Amino acid sequence: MSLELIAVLLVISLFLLLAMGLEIAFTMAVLASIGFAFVLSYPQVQIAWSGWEVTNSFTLIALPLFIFMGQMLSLTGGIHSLFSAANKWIGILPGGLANSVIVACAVFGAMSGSSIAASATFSSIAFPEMEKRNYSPTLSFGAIAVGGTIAVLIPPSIIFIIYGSWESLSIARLFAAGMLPGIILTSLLMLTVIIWVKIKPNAAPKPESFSWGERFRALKDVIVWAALIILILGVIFGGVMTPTEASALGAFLSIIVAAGYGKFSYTALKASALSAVRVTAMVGFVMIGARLLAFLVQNAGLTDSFVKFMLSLEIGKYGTISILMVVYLILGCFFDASAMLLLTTPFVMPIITSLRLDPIWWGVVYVILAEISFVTPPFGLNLFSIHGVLPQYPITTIAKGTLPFLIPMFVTIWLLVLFPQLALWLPNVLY
Amino acid sequence: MNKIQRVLETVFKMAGQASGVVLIAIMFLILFEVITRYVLLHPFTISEEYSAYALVFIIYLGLAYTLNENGHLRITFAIKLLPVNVANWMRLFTLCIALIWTCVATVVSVRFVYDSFVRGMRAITPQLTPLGYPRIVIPIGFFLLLVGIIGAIHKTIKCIKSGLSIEDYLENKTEGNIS
Repeated sequence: MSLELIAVLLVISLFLLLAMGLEIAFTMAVLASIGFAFVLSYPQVQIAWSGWEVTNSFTLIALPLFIFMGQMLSLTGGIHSLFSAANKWIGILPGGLANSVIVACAVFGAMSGSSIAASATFSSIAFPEMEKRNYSPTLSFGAIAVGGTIAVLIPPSIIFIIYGSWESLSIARLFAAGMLPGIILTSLLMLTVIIWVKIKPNAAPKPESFSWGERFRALKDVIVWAALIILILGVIFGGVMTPTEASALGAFLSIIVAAGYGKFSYTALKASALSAVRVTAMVGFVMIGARLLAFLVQNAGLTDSFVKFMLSLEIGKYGTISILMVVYLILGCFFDASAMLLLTTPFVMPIITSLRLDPIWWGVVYVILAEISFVTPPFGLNLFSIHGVLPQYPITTIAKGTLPFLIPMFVTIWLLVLFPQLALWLPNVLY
Repeated sequence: MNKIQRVLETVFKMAGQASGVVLIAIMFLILFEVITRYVLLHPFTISEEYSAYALVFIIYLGLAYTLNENGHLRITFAIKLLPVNVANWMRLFTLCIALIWTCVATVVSVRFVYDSFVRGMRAITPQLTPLGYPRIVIPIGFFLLLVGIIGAIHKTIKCIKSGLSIEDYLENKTEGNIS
């Protein structure tokens, strides 16, 4: 069988099985097993070998521990305080609460690392407040949906842990690489809110002003959270602990904080642990499937052919990145960020290395591309997450609100493409 | 059959809870290693190795639990456009594919563990841990997943018979609401 025929059959079967509703992990694993039998004539025991190699990872244990930490901290109910504190400090800007949501989401991201969790949480907390104060629903939804996406860029990011573990890259370097782009993106999103309100003054009421006393009192309410985040990031960036060790510390301290807020219980502990188990098993299974598929495509020679084909186009670095961006934006409409990453990495990483691009830098670019996919219709997960909390609003209204925010996201990506040091400067300074 | 399904769901939940307990235990193990490194100046060297084994345990024992909680990623927008009966049959078909693959995975992973013991494979660590032991969880996890898929097939058949949408059932899952 020719390589071209194998590639075509593989892609068609992949999309067919996915469209039929087979789990993503099973789809990749089933196709890989068929490939082992009929293309490579390779024993199926590779399933167990790959499964062992992928999951037997000290680095990846940070994933369930950070999820556990985020879950425990969510139970403390401090998100209200976080939102309130953000509003006291940022609320003075045009589009006050919309900007507060974006900043609060960025901080929440530093605890949970989950975009969907951030948008769902702020839909229930921030939206009623914004509705009461006559913010336009499109502005409110846009701010909540894109605010949620920052969570995956600001460390500790779950996607960075998966990517780093998969590509054997330093998670700490990836975390550091996401910091500056995260701050730039947050600033650009806030600028978009300000411009939106300047163009359409009816979109938001006049900003509120608060006394310095109120502002510092609000800070007092979130000081524990802030201290925890600074401690976790500090021990990672300071080289005191590995990200995995820091995740264990964060998980432990989240129990202490929850107990301090009087919210710790056996039920809360169980719910947080089970939530972490669910996400870890899901991601782990997708990783096993992806590793098997990667084994097939690499050993069948598909990866080499694809890389040769891409390089033969002679479109240069920017042309290749543009194509990858378009591909990811299309795939992002259908796939979860982690699944999309694992599915495409076997093909994309050889291109990235052939073009002598830094894999750490690419990780940051990928995360922002994945962020865009969270908020682009028709299947952006954050849109559905908000719709799930506020079902009375049609998905089209929610999606409409996110469109103006796509501009700062694309601007950030191109800033990173043109100035890779924006991502690489901090990790190079720290490590 | 409902009784069997309830028993199975309890087993999956217990597997999920066991993974949760391991997660908490590993949190303390890693912290203990940090303490021994910085306070006692004698790092407790096994934590890195055993944490990695713990992750294997969490993932494999979590597979069936996650399936039972409808937690594995799927794309459902296309099948939701289809008539309920067609979508239900489609789900049955995909579950059968998953069942066959999981059967293969279970059998080969039993062989994998057996080989690990027979060949006396050990971890390249100071502990020289026999690798057969941590690997045992792989066939157990796949076997539980196999049972979970059979349970899902059973639910889908019930939906086909009653004309209910399996997708709606999974999204608004409440135990025993398929009659």
